[in-house]
Amino acid sequence: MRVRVQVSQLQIDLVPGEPVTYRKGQVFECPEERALKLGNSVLILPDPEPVENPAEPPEPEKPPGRKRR
Amino acid sequence: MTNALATYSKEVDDKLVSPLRQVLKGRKLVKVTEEKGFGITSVDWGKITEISEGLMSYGFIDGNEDVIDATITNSKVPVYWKDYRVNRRSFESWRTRSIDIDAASAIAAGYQAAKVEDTAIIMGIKRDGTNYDINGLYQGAGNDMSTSLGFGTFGNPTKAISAAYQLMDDDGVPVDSLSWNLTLSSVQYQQLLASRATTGAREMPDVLDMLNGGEVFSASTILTAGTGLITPTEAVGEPYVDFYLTSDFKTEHGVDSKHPDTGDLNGRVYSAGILRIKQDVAITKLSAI
Repeated sequence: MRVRVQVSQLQIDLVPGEPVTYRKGQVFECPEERALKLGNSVLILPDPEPVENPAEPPEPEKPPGRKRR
Repeated sequence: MTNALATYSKEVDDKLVSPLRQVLKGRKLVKVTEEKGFGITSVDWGKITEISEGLMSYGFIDGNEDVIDATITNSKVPVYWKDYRVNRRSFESWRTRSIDIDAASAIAAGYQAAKVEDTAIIMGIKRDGTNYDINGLYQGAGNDMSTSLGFGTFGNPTKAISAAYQLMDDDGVPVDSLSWNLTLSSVQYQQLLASRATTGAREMPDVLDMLNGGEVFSASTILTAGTGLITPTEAVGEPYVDFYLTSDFKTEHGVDSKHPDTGDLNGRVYSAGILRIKQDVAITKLSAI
């Protein structure tokens, strides 16, 4: 789940042995179990709403063609 | 009768205060103000939200004022209390024959009220049982050190304290000039007590050395297992946090009007005050130990 840091600084090791420090307002992905233990140090953000018609991916933009003289 | 009840309450107070001082943890962690009076139900105070950097020049310059950004907060002052009953015949024995007061029920009730006050200071106050209305030291901490450093492993307590100091140092707290208290849940406190290197060296002396004059406390079950917090000691911590005391622990006793001569006494032990966290960055919680 996505969480937003509510305290001045939060140091957390989501990968064992590799602590990372996040500052207030930063958003990061965190496993639910860890996020719940963080209490009011983070705000759990709602999942982003799914796209209405995800079946058809948008066509990739074509690079602009060269202008002929 | 009214005078007798007042005298009785005073004598119970004398017996109550000393045992309570032994058990109160919260008041050992923060500076406690002078007693302001039970009639004060709310307090206005300034919470510092931002301090800009100091200035350096070869002379003072006009038009370069610096303002400390503080928000005025108004807090209601909660009451911590517990009711109890005193056997009427015990009271009459004291009144007529000056038999020593049995203050056991008052002291037992006082311990319960003290635990509520400790919870308010260390964790906070939640009237609905879920959401904190007023943050205590743990809930109001400005930094969170959530790196997995189980206190059952030698070396981890000193690593955790060092990492917490680094967070506060980054926020401009003069870590090396202050003395600190380390408050742990009972599980982590016992792990620290038992922590030994393979050579047999204890870790506690190193921890106390790092605390620079502070102490290690067990918050028993007020802090949940796996958590702790680092706070400035009450000697140096007043600019950061204090406990605004309006009433120290007292007792009162009265009788039910239905049985004024034979009914048991109704007793109440209470205190009142509120924790004021002025700069939360000087408090770091340890949430994964």
